[in-house]
Amino acid sequence: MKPTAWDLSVPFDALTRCSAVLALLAMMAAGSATLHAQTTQAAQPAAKKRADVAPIVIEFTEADFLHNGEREHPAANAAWQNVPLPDSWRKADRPRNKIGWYRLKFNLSATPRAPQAIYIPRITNNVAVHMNGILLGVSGRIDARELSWNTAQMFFVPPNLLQDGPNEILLRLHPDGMLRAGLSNVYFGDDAMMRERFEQRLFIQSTAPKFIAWLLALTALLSLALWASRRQETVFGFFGLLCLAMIARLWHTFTRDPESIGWLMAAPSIAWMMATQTYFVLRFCDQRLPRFEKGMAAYAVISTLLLFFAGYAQVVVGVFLINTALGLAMLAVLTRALTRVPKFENLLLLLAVYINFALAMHDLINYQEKFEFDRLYVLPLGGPLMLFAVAVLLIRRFVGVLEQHEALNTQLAARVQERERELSLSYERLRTLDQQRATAEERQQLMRDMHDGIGSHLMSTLALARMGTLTQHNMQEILADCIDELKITIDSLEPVESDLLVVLGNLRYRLEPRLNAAGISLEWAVNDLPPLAYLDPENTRSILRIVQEAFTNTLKHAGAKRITLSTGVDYANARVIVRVTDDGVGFKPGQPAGRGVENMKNRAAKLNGDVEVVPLKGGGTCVNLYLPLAKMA
Amino acid sequence: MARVLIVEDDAAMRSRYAEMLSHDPDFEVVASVGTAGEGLAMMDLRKPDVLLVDLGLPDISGIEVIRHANQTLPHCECMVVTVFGDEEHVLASIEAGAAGYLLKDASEENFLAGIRELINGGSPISPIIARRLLKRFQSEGPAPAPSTGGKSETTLDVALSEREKEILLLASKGFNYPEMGKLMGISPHTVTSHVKKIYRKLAVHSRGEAVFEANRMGLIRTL
Repeated sequence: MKPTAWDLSVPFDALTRCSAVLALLAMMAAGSATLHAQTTQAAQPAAKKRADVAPIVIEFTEADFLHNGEREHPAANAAWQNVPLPDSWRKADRPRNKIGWYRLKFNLSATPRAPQAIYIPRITNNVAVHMNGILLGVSGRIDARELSWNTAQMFFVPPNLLQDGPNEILLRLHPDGMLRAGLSNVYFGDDAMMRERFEQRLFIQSTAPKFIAWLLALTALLSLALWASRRQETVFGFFGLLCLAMIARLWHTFTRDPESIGWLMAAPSIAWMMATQTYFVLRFCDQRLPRFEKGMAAYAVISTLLLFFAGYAQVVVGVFLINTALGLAMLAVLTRALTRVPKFENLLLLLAVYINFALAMHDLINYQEKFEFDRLYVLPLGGPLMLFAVAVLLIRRFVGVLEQHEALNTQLAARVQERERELSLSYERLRTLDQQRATAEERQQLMRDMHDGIGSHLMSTLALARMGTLTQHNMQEILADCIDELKITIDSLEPVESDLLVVLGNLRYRLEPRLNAAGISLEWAVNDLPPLAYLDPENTRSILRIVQEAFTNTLKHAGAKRITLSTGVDYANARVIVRVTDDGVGFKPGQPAGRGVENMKNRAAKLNGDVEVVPLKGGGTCVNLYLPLAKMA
Repeated sequence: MARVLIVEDDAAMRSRYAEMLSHDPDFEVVASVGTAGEGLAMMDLRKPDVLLVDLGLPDISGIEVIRHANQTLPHCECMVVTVFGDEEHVLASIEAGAAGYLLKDASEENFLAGIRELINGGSPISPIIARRLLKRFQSEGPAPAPSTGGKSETTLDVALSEREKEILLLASKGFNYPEMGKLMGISPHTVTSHVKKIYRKLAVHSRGEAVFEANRMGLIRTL
């Protein structure tokens, strides 16, 4: 008979395996591996309540077998022959396209009232189960050849089908041409206990591999995405591919569709796994063996093409032989690569590679029926090990990067701090220099002031005194002038923090006694002024001299009775106005300004200000001093 | 009749003060000396009502003389006679307990008026000194800034009244006592007595500080 696609795939199903009891136990621990640990007559209080008899568990280790190819129930006296269970058709060398029958007999002393069940760990391929001649169910869609070879089965047995004394279970087995057709041990007993065993097996055999396949798919997605955004990290690219190869390999173990693509990939995916694992592991430990890598890749491609086009049956045995040989070579190469630098994650990965290889060998041997018929295939359970190794790598790298980053930050902070210190030092130096320069400038200014002012004043007085032309009155006048001058100079050195009113007020305080003595009253009509930032001693002196000059002019020439000083702000022109008016004789418009006025204007100009002297209607003079709100450079 | 003690090392100035005072029957010069040592002795001996003192004395500072007068003669009014009336000298004197100051170049009229004003409970103040005091009393508000300047900038533990602050503010703007009185609706005399009170607060504070300092250094056992 010409084999169908799913027929062909059967031989690769689990061709590469060897026992790895340790790893197996480790992987099964989570799913609880106590499959065969139950004793037959376990006493369970819950069951006892419902049934008259203790819960029953019967394990069938032998059966009557009839290989007649008929769908109809065979007669009780047909040519049944006794066979032990598990029963392998390959070992018994039976044709695997012909229906066979199993008959299991047992006696019940009393009919249990609790529901019972039949549990079959492995059956290939499908089975129809009868209890005392009544059909209980089938393992899968029999004529559609739905695959049941890797699915445990449980059939519910209603208590009213059972009878006191002899009972009979009849199984019709459809081998569907599968290589490993056959029947494992069969269990009959209390529904709850059967269900417990069935569910444990279901978890390890079907649920966990599906779960792992999803895990691998997610990991592949993440790894490939990581690789896509960081092309130089090829280790993740190849890990993603390895995950995909593992999924391709897993697929056929849980698909029940005989036409599934999983069957197409089942055999070539082993070579894919080996090639991607080689690429991945070498990059994981930062090593390259270009020729070996390329050889593995080439073999993966060639064996795939051979399997697809040269005919499965003809090449599959050869391919699996080469797979095994190459697998051993790969193991040696990877062992050398990973132990060159014996880092924790390298050794962990090596362990994962070994365990996976051991699991593969276990499954290969299992496939050849060197173990019991219902032995589990374990390679699917090895995937998480690889994931774990890579997770450790990722975490270590991430932590390493973080630590590096932190170290860099600390270093950077230290460098910045040092820079800052240097900057503040040089700033300090600059400031000192600046201060020294300012002090020197101020002193120079003060010197010039003394020289031109009080100094020359005293000199000319001395000259007059020597010539004998100095009257007592003049002398007093000149000395009083000099003292005023000194006072103004000293007051100008007081830091006034931009407050012009204090400066003007102090001038008043100095000069008012003399004005009063001359019979002049001083009216103070000041308004608050905004701070003038440029009021350093020099500028302060300039302003004081201007106002003093205005007072002196009035005192000497105007014959006034009253002087008014007022202040105000002209925001429109960004200036402050200091106005000194008197009620003296005034002057006629057009009269040339005296030297005093010229002096005032010059001083004001240095401050970017101005002075205007205007006659008032009805006599008197008005001196306006304009000062900028902010002095331009 | 106020009894005046003059401590001034410049003989010309000394005799001028004496001469000016002699023109006024309200004053009697009980002694006129040239050193601080003589001044202290005369103070204990004559117990004057008014002390006129120069700061730059040949033996010790006039500040010590003021301090001594303040401690031994609580009713004696101390006046510093200075060349410039600059804030350094004046503030130091006031802290030592002086109630006012006179300028050496003052006219006789102003000189006598100044002393009389002082006896009547008033003190003079210049805009710059007003401004300095305002800053010192104001800076007590927020937390004292540590070591921002010399002793003259330390914060004060005596608070000014609103009125006193207003007076200092107006004085710093150049208004004289009559103008300030007008602006505040009080008599000029009240203004000047406020100023004197301000001075006394400064002196009390400084004395407290000095006692604290002296205690700390173990100079005084009991007060």
